[in-house]
Amino acid sequence: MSHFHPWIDGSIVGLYLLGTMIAGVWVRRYVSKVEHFLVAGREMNLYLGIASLAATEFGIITCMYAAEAGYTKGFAGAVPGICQALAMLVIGLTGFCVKPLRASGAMTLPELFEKRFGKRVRWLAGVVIVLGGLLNMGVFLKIGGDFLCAVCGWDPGSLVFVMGGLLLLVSIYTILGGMLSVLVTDFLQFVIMSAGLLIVTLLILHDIGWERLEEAVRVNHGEGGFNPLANPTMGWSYLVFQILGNTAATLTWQTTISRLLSAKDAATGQKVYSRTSFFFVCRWLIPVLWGVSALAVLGPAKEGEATLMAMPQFLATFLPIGLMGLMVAAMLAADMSTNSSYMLGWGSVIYNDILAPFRKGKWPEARAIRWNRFIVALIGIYLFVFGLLYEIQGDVWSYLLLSGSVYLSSMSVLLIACCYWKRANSWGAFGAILGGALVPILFLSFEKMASTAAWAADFGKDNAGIAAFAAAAIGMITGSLIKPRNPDQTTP
Amino acid sequence: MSTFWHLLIWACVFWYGTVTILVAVRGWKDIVGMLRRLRDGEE
Repeated sequence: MSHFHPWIDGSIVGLYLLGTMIAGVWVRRYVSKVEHFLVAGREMNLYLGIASLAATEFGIITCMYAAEAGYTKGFAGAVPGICQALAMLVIGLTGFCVKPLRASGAMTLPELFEKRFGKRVRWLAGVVIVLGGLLNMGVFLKIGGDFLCAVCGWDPGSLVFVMGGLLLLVSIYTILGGMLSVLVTDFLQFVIMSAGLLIVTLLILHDIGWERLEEAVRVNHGEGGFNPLANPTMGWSYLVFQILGNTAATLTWQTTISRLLSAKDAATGQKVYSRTSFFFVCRWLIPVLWGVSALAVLGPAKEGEATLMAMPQFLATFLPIGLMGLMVAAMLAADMSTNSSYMLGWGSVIYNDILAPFRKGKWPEARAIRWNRFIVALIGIYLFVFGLLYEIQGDVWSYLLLSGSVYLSSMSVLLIACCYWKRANSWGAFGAILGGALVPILFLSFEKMASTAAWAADFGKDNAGIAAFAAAAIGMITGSLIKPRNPDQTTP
Repeated sequence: MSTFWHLLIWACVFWYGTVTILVAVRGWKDIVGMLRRLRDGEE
């Protein structure tokens, strides 16, 4: 039985929603150019950037898959967060790739690629980014709805209405105000989300206590619950894939780099990266702790039970009235900021890169903004339909990283080559895109076919992910070396 | 390894708490400045 009280907790949630909607809709008056809509006129400063990046990169989906990792792998499940924090710190401090990317003045990655590899590569890169991104994001709304239904004790039949309501609210301010609304609401959402996450975490540490949490991990997972190399479901290949995948995501994930591209200059963008880096440890470790708490209180999952739902089931009975409202508001804040940024992020690539060949000359600002709003609305409809129809097999993080690796492997290789390898050219870019996409697609096909399923299981998802990065790099090197040299090529 | 995770959790709580307060104050100033610059740019 959930502790969610319709009046007390409902009022806290309602107040948060009202505040967010007023702020999000109010700033639409400042949107007069497409640059305002997509990158907030490049006027974003450091602290707003930190709030926005942190709020975007923590959604209900993040909380769910990280808590599931804590429940099924123990504290070692937080390793991807440490990998991403290190990648973010190193890239922020050195400016590796992100400095030339911001200095190029591009609004999206494919726009940068066009300067080096030509229009066809820009278009194809846009398609790969959008396909990978939308496949990845397609499950967000459904999982957000599942979480809210479980925590609030609502009937699963109301999932459609919860999903629809969430989507409608986010769509309204994102369509009207674009990146400006996203930044302002992200700020409010960051403050509420952080307050909720911290209070719940402190309550867990106080009420359950470290000794009980540690005992639960030791009994259920042994040393592997603390050390990823001693965990039979993790090991070296898992670690290497996490380092590659998280570094690539830091360099090329559209919603992450859109904060860099919205920064007022490259130095501000780099500071946003380096100063937000430790947040990525918190982003994983806090929900992992919630998952471990679910393990300590509820015990391990029985045969056929969904490990994904253990954390929300634990929170539903652990938190008292009042705090439940704050936690639901925090999770709504986290989810709304993620959904709005993702809708805008993929929408900007569709408008800026995929539709670029169909635009004859520069469109008037009003028409461009209208098209961007239309694209964001279409993505909203896609999210709703995909969320209702698609059922994830296996754990959520594996699905997200595998669907993301189609894009991350090739785009990171393209970006590094574009910025630092003078010999890189369009043939190499096509080779990298082909190699990066082919390996995960082949692996997924092998997994489904009876004759090759055993081989695929032996090979493993992590090795397939590493192979995708290797294939993209080989494709880039081979293609670039085969094509005759072009003396006019310059680095951007 | 257990001590490592215990210390890391408390580091997260302290760091996140501090950053939340800092960003709540300075981020608000950033929003006001950003909207003012956008308005001035239009005029």
